[in-house]
Amino acid sequence: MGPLNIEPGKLFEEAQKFQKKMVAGMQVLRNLDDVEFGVTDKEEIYREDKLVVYRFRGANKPTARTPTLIVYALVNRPYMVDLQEDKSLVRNLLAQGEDVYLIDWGYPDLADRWLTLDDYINGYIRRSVDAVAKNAGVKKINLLGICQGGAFSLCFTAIHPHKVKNLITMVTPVDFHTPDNMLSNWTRNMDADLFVNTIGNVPADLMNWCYLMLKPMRLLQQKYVGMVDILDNKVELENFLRMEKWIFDSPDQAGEAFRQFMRDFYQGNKLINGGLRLGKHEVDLRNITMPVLNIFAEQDHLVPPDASRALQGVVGTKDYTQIAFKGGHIGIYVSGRAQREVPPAIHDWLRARP
Amino acid sequence: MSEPLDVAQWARNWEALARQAQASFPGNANAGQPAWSAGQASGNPWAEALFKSAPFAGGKQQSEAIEHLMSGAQGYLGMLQSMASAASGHAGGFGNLPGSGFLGAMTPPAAMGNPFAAAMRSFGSQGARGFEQMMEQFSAVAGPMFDKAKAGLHQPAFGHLREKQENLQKTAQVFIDYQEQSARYDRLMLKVGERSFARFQLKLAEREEPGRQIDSVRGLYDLWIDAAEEAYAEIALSEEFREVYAAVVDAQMRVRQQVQGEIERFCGELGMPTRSEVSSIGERLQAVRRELREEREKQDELRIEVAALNLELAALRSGSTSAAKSAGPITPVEVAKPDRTRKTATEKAPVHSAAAAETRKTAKKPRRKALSKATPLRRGKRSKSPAGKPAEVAIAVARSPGRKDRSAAAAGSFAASIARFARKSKSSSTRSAPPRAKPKAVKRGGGK
Repeated sequence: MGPLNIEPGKLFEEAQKFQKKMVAGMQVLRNLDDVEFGVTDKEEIYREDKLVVYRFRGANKPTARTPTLIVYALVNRPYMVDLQEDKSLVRNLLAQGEDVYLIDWGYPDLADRWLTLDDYINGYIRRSVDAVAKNAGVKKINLLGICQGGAFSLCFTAIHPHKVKNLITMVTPVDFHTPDNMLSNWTRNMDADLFVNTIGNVPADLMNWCYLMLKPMRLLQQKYVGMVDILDNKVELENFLRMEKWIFDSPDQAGEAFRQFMRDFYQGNKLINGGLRLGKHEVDLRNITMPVLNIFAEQDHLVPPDASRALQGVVGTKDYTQIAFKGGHIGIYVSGRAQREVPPAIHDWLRARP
Repeated sequence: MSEPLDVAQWARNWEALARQAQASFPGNANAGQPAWSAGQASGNPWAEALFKSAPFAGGKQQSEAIEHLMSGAQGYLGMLQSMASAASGHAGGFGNLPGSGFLGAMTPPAAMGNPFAAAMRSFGSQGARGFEQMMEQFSAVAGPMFDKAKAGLHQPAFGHLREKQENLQKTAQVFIDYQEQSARYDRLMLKVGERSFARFQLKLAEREEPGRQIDSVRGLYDLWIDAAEEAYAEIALSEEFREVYAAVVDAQMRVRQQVQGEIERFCGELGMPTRSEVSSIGERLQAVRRELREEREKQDELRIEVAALNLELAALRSGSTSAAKSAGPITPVEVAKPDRTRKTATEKAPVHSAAAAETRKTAKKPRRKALSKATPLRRGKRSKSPAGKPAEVAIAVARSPGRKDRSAAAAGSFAASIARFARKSKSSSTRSAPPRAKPKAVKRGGGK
């Protein structure tokens, strides 16, 4: 017996169904408005250059005394954490009573070409943290770092531990040299100086292309064949397009910061190996002695779980908690499971450490 | 099981459906013409027809997603197409298709193309904005020269055109290097294609057991995607890929850099600003902004200190320490002041730094005396002082008992604060010293 048992009639049905979906999809797509994102009310509390710090407004006043500042990655837009009403980490944290702030990095351009990691971490993040603390009338705040923003939060906390009460990292790479880290493998031998000196700011399209090439067949083909299944469903199609918009709405990367991130993190793995310097500060993760919650995704193709798990062995805290989420790098924010599991887990952990 | 497939009838039905769908596409110039043909094995006519008809043209902001959809659908439709083609000679359905024949009709290049090799070339166009286009144009113009130049790439250049010749040689060299590295990358990606196919066959073999058979083209397509991804991941995580990838990206960057250099030289001759110049200005600007921000932060700290001094001054003018207390909250900067106050309490030093230095000098002797008089308890406290000037506290404590009036001491305190402020303004490094929290000493001294 062969591997295929495709009945001819079924083949026709399948083709017909595909065709019908495509035709129906035309109508839906033509009538679809621009998708909206970022659904929770927010107010600006601090602005500097292209950076803006927002405070989100929930239906009720926050019950948490310590505010939580979300530090997102530079490589994507932060509205992923507040994508739509039923897919919003922010909204769910607010509903739990947390006081949530967020750094929006904006879109760097040529004027930002020479921004260094020191500028980002000891400059922008430090002043944002101060602004949040001042706004909330506290001395220390909680940091919630996501992906690259998690790595930045680790650096910031190690340098300025007196400003951070609790540290939460989500899908954060710590050990960049795990054998399953594809991005790391690609960049390990690249000449970071030649790369940045030649192209300056790293174009967003190039970044996107690299991410797509992590799983080219799945992300460039299979996903869109799957899209045909939902072409005639307006709501699902809107959700798909909203996600699609987020994926490709990427800022360019400030050249100098990118150079350092590639050299010190991807190539030098200095969070693990030590020797990371940001301006006049040396980053020593052993200085992180406050409570740490580390959340990672078990099916993460961008930040392998082992890259995040490594945090446990390198921070100085005795209060370390780790949560393995069943999902991927993006699913951890937008999946139904994520909405049910992640915000309550964060809230419960914070509530135990007021 | 269903009835055996009448492929001819199926093809007619499919074509009719295709015509119907195609006719419904607006603005299709080919409406009514046969678009899909089950008998055509070459190319991917189903997908081509779908692509040409551009059914989603005129959409609002979904164009990119649709572009990907069309591209993705091509692979899937290609598979449908190849299956239908293969089935045309096998009226008994697909279950009995000989593996090699069927699979031959949908080998990776036939079914999917080779997206990996194409992707690297797109690396330029997607990420580096038209690199591939630039290479094409560049090679069209300069290509013929390279053949001639190749042999003489390492020949020394002479005369007034020496520099230009060297540039040309270098340009040719980086171009050739890039071509070689690209070819290496392409070979690696072909290996991905081969391994994908091998894995696909293995996966198919696993599905021969009853109950595990694949019963839809979509299922087959998904299996192919799994196989391709696994094969790709295996190579993309290898040392070889790491080396080849870095080499091809580096080579591409060298070409871009060389071409940028040529363009800059040309622009320079025309008196036009260049990217390097803009970048250089940006670097300086960023450095200035950084300095400015640092200075501003120092200023903020100084402002706090000035505010504290003003408070202290107000307290002095009112003539009582209680006024100072009621004047407002004491900042951490203020906490650091009392030791200075004590040090200069007997000196009444002028504000300028030379005089301040003098007062420090004159204060040395009594300090030793005071130390000798200090109690062990006080010595212990002094030894904890982080600033290395514990004796000053003891001096103030030792000398203050004979003080006639408190306001004199307080006036000295203000003068010392001013002196310290002046020194701080000159050197911000002193600010890094932790505050010396000895406010009690003032109380003690004043009290005595």
